[in-house]
Amino acid sequence: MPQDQRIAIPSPGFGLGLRPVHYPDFLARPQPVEWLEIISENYMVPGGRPMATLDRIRADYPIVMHGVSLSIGSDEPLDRTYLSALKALADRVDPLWISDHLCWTGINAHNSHDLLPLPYDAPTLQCVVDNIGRVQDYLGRRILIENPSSYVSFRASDRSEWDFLAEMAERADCLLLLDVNNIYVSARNHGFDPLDYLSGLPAGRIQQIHLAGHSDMGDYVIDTHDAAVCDAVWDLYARAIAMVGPVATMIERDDDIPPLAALLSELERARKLAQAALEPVGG
Amino acid sequence: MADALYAIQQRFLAAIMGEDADAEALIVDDARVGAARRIGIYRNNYRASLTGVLADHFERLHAYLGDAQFGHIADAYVKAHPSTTRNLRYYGAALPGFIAHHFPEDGELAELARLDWALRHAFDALDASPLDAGAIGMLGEQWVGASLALHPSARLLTMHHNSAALWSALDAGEAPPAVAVLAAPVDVLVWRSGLQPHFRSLAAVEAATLVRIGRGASFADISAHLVNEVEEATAMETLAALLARWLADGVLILADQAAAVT
Ligand SMILES: [Fe+2]
Repeated sequence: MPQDQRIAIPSPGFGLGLRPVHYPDFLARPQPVEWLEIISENYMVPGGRPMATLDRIRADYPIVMHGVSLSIGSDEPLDRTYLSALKALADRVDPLWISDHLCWTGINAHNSHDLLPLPYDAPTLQCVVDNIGRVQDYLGRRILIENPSSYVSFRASDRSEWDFLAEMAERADCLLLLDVNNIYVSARNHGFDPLDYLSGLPAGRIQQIHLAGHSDMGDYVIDTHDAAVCDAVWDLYARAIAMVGPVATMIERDDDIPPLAALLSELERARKLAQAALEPVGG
Repeated sequence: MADALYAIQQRFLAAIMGEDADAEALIVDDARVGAARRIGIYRNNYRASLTGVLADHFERLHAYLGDAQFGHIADAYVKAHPSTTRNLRYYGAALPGFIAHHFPEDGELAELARLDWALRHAFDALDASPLDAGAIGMLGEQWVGASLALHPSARLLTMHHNSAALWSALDAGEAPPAVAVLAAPVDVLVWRSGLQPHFRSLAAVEAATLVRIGRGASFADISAHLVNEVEEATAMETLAALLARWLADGVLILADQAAAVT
């Protein structure tokens, strides 16, 4: 990775995605995580148990907000209603940071509820950079943009995803959320070298890392977040930490969610790997 | 010139949401997976996430119908109702009406769907401080004339079938009773008490009174109305019992609080 200046804030440590099945664990006793990530949309509701629980857990843990519906790459005006709900949630939560994905989720008032890939070309880059600027102005802070998993490449693309992300981050002056599993999934689906991807990103803008599991279909891989992190992704994570330095890292699990203890032990593996990756070579 | 991004996105989304539309020409083809299968992954994700969220929102209807029949209805609904909501939480609002339209002979299905949806609404509806004995005491003489409202979580549903009993049996994991048409329609109150959604069937007098409260009636208004209908002592006794229950359940708020939060 280019050894550029560090714009990302120092790592607050290791975290997990907060999921409702684990509410009782977090409410009952302190858990060994330095922060928690919420899916913003799950708390863009008026009240009741989600908001009450969030307030209680927020009193004990720093929180980062991770959105799935910003649709930063849609070629149409941003959804002001969504943005104002996002800002209201940020005002309530006072998150460490706010993230969403390099993707689009819908167009013309129709929504796929999926992180759809973009063509990587100059007009799309302009659209994304402009939209990130508008969002950052509105929220009054830099946002993090995450690399997505994808299953198609557009014929219109004329550059790699990492080149697109690198130029986007510089031009929009935003931060990056590096999903190591997504790099692995997309590398398998599109046939690129994950290390080319890692070394093409501006390391100083990477503020968070996601780790997750996927479903290997043989010919292709689907980003399902329903399994443990695989060995190839752990290896890639160690490479990423060695290149970038300490970065806030968490495990994403959205389906077939195990007891909290299982995720904490996976997170322990991340802590150990990161520690080993940061030790000076040759001691 | 290459397609504008907007045109690419419209075409790609149409291909995901409907099976007829084609977007393969936009995609790099390959011998290993192929453009058609690659788009198919997104098409499948879309259908699976929407039918999945319907199964989640309409949990008891799903249990009643079973996977196959519920899946069939959910697929048809997703085809007929492409998502136009940004937050998946709000997808499925039209399912009860869709079912009523397609299964007019099986009225209990739409009623179960309405009850599931109302309970989902109650779960995360707006917070508001319900009236309790202490709050009424603070109001003093203003209480009887104060305009009332139902808690933002509250909904009244009219049932023509024993759907409330079906729901409760399904919730308890028991075999539901046989479907029966009620001798007279019964209203059900759905609301949230603390953080927990609840529902209960209402006698006609309570339902009618709650409808009036929903329109902003005061305690004086509902008393006057009831006294017109039944003998005064009975009316006052009935109202005292109803009020005690509403206060215990957290069903009422002051109308000016409702105005402040909406
Ligand atoms: Fe991720």
